[in-house]
Amino acid sequence: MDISQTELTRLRQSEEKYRRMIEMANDAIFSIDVDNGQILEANPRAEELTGRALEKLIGLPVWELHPAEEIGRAKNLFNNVVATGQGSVRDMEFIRPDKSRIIVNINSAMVEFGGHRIIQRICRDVTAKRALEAESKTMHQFFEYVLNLMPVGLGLKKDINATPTIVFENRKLQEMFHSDDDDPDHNHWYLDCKESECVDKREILGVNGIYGIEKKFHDGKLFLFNVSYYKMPDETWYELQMVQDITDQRKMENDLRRSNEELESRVEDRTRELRQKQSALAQAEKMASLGQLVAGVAHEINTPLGALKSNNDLFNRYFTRLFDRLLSDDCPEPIRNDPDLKKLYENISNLTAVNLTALDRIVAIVNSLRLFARLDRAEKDSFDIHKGLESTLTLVNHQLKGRIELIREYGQLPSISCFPNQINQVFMNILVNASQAIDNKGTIRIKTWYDKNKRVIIEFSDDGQGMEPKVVERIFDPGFTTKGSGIGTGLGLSIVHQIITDHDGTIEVTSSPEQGTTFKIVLPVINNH
Amino acid sequence: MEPGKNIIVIVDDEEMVLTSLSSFLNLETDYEVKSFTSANQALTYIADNEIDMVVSDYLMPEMDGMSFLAKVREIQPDVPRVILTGYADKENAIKAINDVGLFQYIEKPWDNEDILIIFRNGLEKKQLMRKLNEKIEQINKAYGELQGLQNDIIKTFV
Repeated sequence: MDISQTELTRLRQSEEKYRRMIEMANDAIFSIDVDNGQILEANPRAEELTGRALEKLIGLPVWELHPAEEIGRAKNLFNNVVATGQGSVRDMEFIRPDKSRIIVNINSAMVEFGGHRIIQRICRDVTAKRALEAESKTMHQFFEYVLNLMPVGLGLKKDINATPTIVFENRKLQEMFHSDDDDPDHNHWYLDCKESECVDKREILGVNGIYGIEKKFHDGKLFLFNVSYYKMPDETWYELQMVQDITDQRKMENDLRRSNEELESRVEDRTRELRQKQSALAQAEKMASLGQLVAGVAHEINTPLGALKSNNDLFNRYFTRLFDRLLSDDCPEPIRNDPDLKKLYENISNLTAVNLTALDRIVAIVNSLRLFARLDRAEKDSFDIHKGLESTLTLVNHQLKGRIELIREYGQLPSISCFPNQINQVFMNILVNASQAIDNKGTIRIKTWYDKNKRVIIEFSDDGQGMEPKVVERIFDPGFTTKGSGIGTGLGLSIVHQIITDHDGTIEVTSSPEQGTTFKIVLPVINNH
Repeated sequence: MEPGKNIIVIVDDEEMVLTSLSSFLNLETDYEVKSFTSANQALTYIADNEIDMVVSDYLMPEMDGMSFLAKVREIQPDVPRVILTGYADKENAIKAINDVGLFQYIEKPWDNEDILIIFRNGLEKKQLMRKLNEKIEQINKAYGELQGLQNDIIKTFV
């Protein structure tokens, strides 16, 4: 075969070009004798990777490059290539004379050169790559470890706008939602956690966003989802969900709020109680000093009143007797039939009757004063509240009859230790007030009950005209009256207050105009009065 | 003093009470009323005259009603004693009735009809007491006579 000079030159140039490429290649390239596996040729990179000079490599069976434990495998590879014409293997090692090792991927193929078969082998150094991979794997494991340690549930899902799939979920999340696989609420929460409002937000915020929602599951568990989502350059949507079980936290918050509210209302109650006690104390002091004054006044009034009452009675008796005589047949006719005398008789009769009424009213006022000053003490006794109420109702019946409906709601009450006539006086005063508060027709409701603190409660409610708050404030003040002069003494409710306080009890009034008034009396079963 | 007339002594430092009560009693009864504004003057009278009933105010400047009535009891123990009081203090009244041995107490302002009843009852009590005392005296006298007779009989036999 003749080869022209030009052709030869071209071939030489081509050979030169490939040689250069082989010499400059980043992979080790060997030519191997197919009969005995000895290295025939090697490029500089091969010298570098094997740590051997070319003259040491030439003639070296190719499996001798591997450490002892891989020699069998290396021979297999060689035999395999000889038999099949090609073969490749990954992650084998070269051992260098200095005992250092590198990892290589090997590709072998049988080629023919002018009737000679040789094996060409290309070995790529993947040591750095493997090290990187190992490092990356370690890092991955480390992060997974860290994420699993986190006290919140973490979940990552992708393709959230198409078919969501779970990329990652940490242990906490699994504990939270996979403890009971039959639970429809808990399973795959992250797949259906698509709140419409969240979608809206995503649209508003664009590519990336974050939102939080609270979800309550039917077992009472409350979870807070902090969701952040983002779009990767490849148009895939990812969503990272951070889930906290806030059931206990919320419960604690609620408990705290409740106990705080309770505390506040207790402080309020105490303050109100204190204020009430203060005013009750002031009231009691006022009453005490007034009581002494009133006692003196009552006594001073009673003496002249006694004289007046007696004299008026006497005067009436004799005046009547006198006129009886003047108008009798014993008297001379001109006197007997004198019209002036008759007129005089009628007028004077009227006047003494008025005197008697006036005196009786003074007596009633002084009696109230005396009662107020606690002068009229009777014996302390065991007292049936309901009997007392009924006897009092008998006395005030003429004021109620036909006009006011009486509703009794009596509970079971024990007898109480008290001064019965005083308590009756209290009932009387309140009932009279109630009946006067009702203009035409109305209702008075009397309710009694016994509470767990061993106290008896008697409540009088009327649906009468009620009172303005500024009137309510003053109703227990002695001398305060809304009734016209001559009707009330202004002492009725002061006496009531005094008696109830003396019995270690309390009296409260609630009233509003047009709605009516309620008096609530609380009495202990046993008191130290 | 007409014989057989009941004598009532009334003591009150207030003239008007005395006038009212004595007028009423004079007109409505045949009692002889002796009224005093001074307890001491009343005591002087009582020391010298037998009376049938005494009424005293509770609170007086010179001597209080209770002390006065206690003194009356010393002089004439059988006379029913009545206190007239402006205080309707039943506790004190009951205490006084026990301490001084009151027949009754009257509250100011009083009721004339009540007064009449109290006086009638008081005088009846006085009368009964007197009759009782007379009977006791008669019995004592009879007992004395009986004892004298007994002595005579013993002497005769011994």
